[in-house]
Amino acid sequence: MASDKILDSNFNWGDTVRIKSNAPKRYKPGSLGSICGIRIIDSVEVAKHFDQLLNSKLYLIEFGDGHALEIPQSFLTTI
Amino acid sequence: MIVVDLLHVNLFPKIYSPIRNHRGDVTLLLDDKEQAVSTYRYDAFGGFSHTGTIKSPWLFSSQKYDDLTKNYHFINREYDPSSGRWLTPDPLGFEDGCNLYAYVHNNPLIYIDPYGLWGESANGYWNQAKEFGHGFSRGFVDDASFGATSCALGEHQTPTFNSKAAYYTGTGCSLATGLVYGGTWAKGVLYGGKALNYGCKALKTAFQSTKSVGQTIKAVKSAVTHTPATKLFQKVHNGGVSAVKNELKNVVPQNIEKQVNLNPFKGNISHDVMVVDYKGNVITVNKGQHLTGSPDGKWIQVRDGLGNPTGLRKDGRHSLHTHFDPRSLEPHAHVPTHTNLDGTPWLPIKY
Repeated sequence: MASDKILDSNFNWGDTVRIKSNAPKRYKPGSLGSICGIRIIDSVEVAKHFDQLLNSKLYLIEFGDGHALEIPQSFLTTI
Repeated sequence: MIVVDLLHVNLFPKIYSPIRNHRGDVTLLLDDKEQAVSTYRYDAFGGFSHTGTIKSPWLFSSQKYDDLTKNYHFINREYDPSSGRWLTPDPLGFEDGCNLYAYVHNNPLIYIDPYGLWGESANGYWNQAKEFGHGFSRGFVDDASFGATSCALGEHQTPTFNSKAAYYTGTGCSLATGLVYGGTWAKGVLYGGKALNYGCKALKTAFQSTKSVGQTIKAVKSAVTHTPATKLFQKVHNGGVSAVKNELKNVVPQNIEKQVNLNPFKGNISHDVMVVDYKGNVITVNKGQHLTGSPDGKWIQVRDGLGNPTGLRKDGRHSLHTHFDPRSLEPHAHVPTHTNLDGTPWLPIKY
């Protein structure tokens, strides 16, 4: 199942991550966030939109002010 | 019809009013005081006797009597009442009969001849109408029977112009009717021929379609044989109820699941649903949306058809590394356009 694949990912629900400094500004590089959602890119459109590869992961990151963004895995790192 | 209509008798210096019988004979003269001054009696052919003081020249059939010649001056001929005959032959020839001198076919009590040309009924319009009807019907029947009626009843007598006109009118109508009838009959024959032609065509088509019907029956039989329902029935016949269950598992649910999806964790749903967790918290998922979340159900997000988060979600506890509001450190929900009173998005839920 998709959730099983997601479980094998580097990050899990509730984990705290940092946005890499090389991430686009819209992703608030250097900020800390909490992972509250995960999905796998399964369509070309979404892949193009995020400039990511198919089957890579997108993480829904909630920041301290309550706002949330979907950020590709490649722009996240552990603290 | 009395053409020479005698309205008054002018016998200078007075004018008298005539009273006439059904033939138009002047039988009585009245003066201006409506007193009878003269009376006349007539025989059948116009001979008369007179009593009274005034002698009128207009007498039999309202025609003028000549005391010198003892004849009547009709419009076209002179009439001799003593012999009951015309003095000259009929100007129309044999139109009114073969006897050119006979006065109204020697039947002056019924017929009159004010023109001196032909006899006509003296009994008014009703008798003329009856006469016309009789002549018309006889003429019609004579023509329609091709002379058989005349042979049976004898030649029809046409003593008056009215009866003759009626007779020939009836004959003409019979002829016209015959023509119409004949035309109709011809049309009937024509249409009958057409109907026969169409009938033959229909029969031919029906005969040809018999092959088509046979082929159709074969096609239907083949189609029925190869339908899933027929196969199912065959399996029921061969394998019993268990075979039916297997068949339903293989065929029916797949089709239904393609059309209806009420499980938001298995893709976009086909109808609006409400998902309730074990604590009683409710998440509404609209048609075309789906849910993603953690296996333990603590983190759930509503996503649209393309997978983008709608903003409606249930979150678990956030870390103190990232969040400082105590409401974000406990399980909470996010609902777009809904915030706490202080504007923060972490809405309380049951946990």
